Amino acid sequence: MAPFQIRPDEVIQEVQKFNSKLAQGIHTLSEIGDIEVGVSAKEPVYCEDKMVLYRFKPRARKLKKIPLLIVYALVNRPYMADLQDGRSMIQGLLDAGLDVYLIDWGYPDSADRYLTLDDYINGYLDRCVDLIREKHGIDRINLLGICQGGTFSLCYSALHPDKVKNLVTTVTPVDFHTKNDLLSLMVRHVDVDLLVDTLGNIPGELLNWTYLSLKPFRLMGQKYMDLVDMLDDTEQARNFMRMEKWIFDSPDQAGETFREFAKQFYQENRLVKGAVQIGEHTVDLQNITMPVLNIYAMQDHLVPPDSSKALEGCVGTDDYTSLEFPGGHIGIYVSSKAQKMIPPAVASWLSKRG
Amino acid sequence: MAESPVNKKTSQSPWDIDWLETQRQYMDAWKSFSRFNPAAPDITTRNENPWAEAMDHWWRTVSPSAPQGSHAFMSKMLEQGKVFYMLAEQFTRLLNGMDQLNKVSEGWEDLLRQQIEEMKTLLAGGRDSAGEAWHGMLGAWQLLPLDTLQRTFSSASLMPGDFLQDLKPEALEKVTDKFLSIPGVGYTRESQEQIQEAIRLWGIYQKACQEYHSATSRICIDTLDCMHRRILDMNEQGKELRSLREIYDLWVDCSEEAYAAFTGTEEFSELYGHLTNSLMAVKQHGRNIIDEALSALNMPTRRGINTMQKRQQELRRDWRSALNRIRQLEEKIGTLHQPAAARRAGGAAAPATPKKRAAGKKKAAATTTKRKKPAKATAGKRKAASARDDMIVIKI
Repeated sequence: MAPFQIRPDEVIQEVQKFNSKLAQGIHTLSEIGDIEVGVSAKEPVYCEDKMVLYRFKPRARKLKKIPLLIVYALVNRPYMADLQDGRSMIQGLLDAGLDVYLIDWGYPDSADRYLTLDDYINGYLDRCVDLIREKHGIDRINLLGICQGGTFSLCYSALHPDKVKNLVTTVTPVDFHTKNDLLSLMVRHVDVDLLVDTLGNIPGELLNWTYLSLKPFRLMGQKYMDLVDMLDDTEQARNFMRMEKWIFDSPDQAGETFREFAKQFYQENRLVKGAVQIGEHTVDLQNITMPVLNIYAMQDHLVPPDSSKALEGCVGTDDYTSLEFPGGHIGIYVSSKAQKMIPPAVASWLSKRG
Repeated sequence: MAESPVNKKTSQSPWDIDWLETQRQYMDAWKSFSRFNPAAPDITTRNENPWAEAMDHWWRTVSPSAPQGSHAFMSKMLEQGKVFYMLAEQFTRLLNGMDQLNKVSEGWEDLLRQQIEEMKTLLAGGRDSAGEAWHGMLGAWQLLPLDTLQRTFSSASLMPGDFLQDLKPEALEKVTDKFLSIPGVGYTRESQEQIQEAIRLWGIYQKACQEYHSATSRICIDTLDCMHRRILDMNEQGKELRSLREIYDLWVDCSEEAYAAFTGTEEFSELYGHLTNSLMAVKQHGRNIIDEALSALNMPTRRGINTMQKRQQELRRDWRSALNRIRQLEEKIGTLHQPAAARRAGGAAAPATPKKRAAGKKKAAATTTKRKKPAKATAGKRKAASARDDMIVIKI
């Protein structure tokens, strides 16, 4: 017997209901107003060019001695880690008594086109680390890298192991040639030199489209069909629009940095080979001898779990911990499951290591 | 299950409804509504997809008063809605056919196969409204990268992505061999060659587009095959589809499966790379032509600005390096001015001085470099870097 149990009147009603919900949705959207993001109080402690180093206001009475610096990716914006009340990894880390700093790379423009990985990692990032070390009168701080920021943190920790006490990486690509890495396949045959020489900075819009095209029917279609069902609830619609704002808030990428990252990491997979060149230095992950906590997401469509898990075989530390999160690349920061799991796990792991 | 009004008509099948007529009634209702709105645009024609037309009509009516920021978003929502209407129409036909069969017969499988084949034919033929809608489903808001790539890259040149849009490869082939082989002559020889090169590059890009289109059209066919397979599996497992939304979700799952199967191949990687590279070549050539024109007018060129920006960044790096060196020297001088006893005590206690940091940095670099390069080369490089630092200190 055919597996269709749908009556004709139900089909008509379903389409009519869809249409009326869509029509009513415009009223909900008009009531939403400005979308606010970034819930935790913070203040800038250092600015350089377009980069700003923030320090979050503590939420716990007793602060841990070693501060934690969060290194975000160059793509998209860091408020994803602090999206809204109750959906904020940073809030969770502050509640656990951590003294949290965050690097916001800003929006590069054409004047930043010749910024290189060396400028970002041995320049901006290193100066932020030095500033925090001096401010707290300590030799080494804790680092937490997010996605590409995790890759930057790995490079930094390998080049400056004397400044990093503990390293936490989250959904961080390490092996860029694992199976099912669509992003890597897309860039594999692109003439990156021609691309950068032609475009200068790489437009954020192009990166947006690239990420969405990894799962186009779900991310550019089904997601909005789900939204139609939410449009009668202003708060739910606001939450959706908040995520939407983050997804399409994409800074352009400094051309030279993109060139280096796409070629050395994505095309040549040099990180796992110990051959990434940052300025005059070669990155050897064996230099990472401090404790490492590597968190990855099981359903990550941007950074396949295997890409992150490869870290274990590359680092020189004998204190390596991995944590698998049952969710996706974004869910690891914003889902309610993540709020209960990730910040407490990070805080507990750091506490055990001083 | 409650009996529907349609089911009460025992003399005929509940699926004996005129889908298009129902949609037209719906659109008429929208039209009646819009009569009360003087800003509403007039509808004088009817197309084959009145549901979509009704929603378009509604949006044109309300959009002037809608918040500006919501326009793009709502337009996308309406596009996705059209996919929903398309599925409704296609599957209503299928369900109508099934209802006429004996419920327990195996004939539904043949009917399903026929319907799937019909959808494939629409895809293959594709220029009527139904075909366009199916292509729109494949497109899923710019699934094909061409629109986005062209829009993005248009800003890189005064000659936008569509300036040679009408020159298609099939037309080009007739003229290119002859035209492009004619050598440029006379005073304008150079510009003739530039135009020939632009046309040649555009032809390569158009071919890459065709190859990409041809390969991606397979995704839709594979999606339908996947749906066919899954519906048969559901039947074997005793599962049921109970709403249009469930059919839509099944379509999304199958589309993603077919898309992932295609994009996970080396063929896709090569096609995508070829497509991007060929478009970049067109854009870069266009930019070079513009640069030459600007240069002739003694105006700033992209090339010249690049040079300035590159030099500026190099200067900033050198300045940073010099600043660090000055700080180190200042600390060294400060230490020398201290009495010997304080110097000894300070030297033992200072945990995070710039001096110590610099030493740490060198140590890390030395460790990593040692593994990869001969010690002599590393020492030479360091010496060169040091000499450069010294030179900049003198400059400042």
